[in-house]
Amino acid sequence: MPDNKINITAVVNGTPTGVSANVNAPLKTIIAEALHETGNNGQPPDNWDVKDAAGNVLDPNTKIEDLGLTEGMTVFLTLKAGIGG
Amino acid sequence: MVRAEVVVNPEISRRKFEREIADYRRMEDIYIERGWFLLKAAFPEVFVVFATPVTAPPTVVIGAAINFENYDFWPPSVTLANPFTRQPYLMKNLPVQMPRIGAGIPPDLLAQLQAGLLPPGFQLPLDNLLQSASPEDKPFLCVPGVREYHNSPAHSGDSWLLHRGKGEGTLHFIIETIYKYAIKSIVGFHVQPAYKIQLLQRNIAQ
Repeated sequence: MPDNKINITAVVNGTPTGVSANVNAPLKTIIAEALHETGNNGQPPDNWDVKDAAGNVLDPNTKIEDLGLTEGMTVFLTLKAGIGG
Repeated sequence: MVRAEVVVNPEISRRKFEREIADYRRMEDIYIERGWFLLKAAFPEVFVVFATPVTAPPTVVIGAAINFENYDFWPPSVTLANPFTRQPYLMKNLPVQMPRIGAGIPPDLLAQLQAGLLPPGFQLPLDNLLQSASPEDKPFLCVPGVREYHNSPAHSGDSWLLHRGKGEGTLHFIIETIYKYAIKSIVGFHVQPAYKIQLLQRNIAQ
């Protein structure tokens, strides 16, 4: 595998799937693939938060390597809750 | 216990339920570190307890019973409950609220908030995702994907069928929503006069 590619696990709404990521690309580049792989095609990528294991929201415009994501790590894609209350 | 009307073959609902439980169990080690404890999962109900690791000592905060009858033609029902007795809370007895930064906040104000530039004591308008008719009633989680939300006359124009299959109303979505707005915002204890201790919530999510 090229040096700039890593395999990470994306847990989309609780369902895990493997995605290949370019560490020099922004995090948002993995969102569409992860949604497609898990069959979550009903909401656009902008409606999903990407979080680390602790549940902290990650900036989707930051490069993957700048977020400290490395081979084998896991991120969580969670749908933003709709307007309520 | 009054059972709901059966409108979906229970075997279909059960299989979907078990698939969601299996997905949860695969990632469970990470969820435990967040303070999620899925204690009981027997169709059609799940009981989850939420704890926070940020207080000293770590604190068990609240429980949630999530019911998957007629899933997913119906969204799950959510009842917040005492984590030890599993008795449903009334609004007046809730140990935490679920504040959310209001949707109408101007972007520049939001940017100042996120940058920590707002003066101390500045009050942002907040929504409460827990709603009830009165303090004597059980609260309901007022977000799409929750049965009580869609059954409320106030949301009669927002059918569950408009959301079904798009990500809302799953086990993970509901647990994550409770965690994000009720638990992750906890930063410590607030000790009031006469030694009444409340959880201190500051990290209000958008």
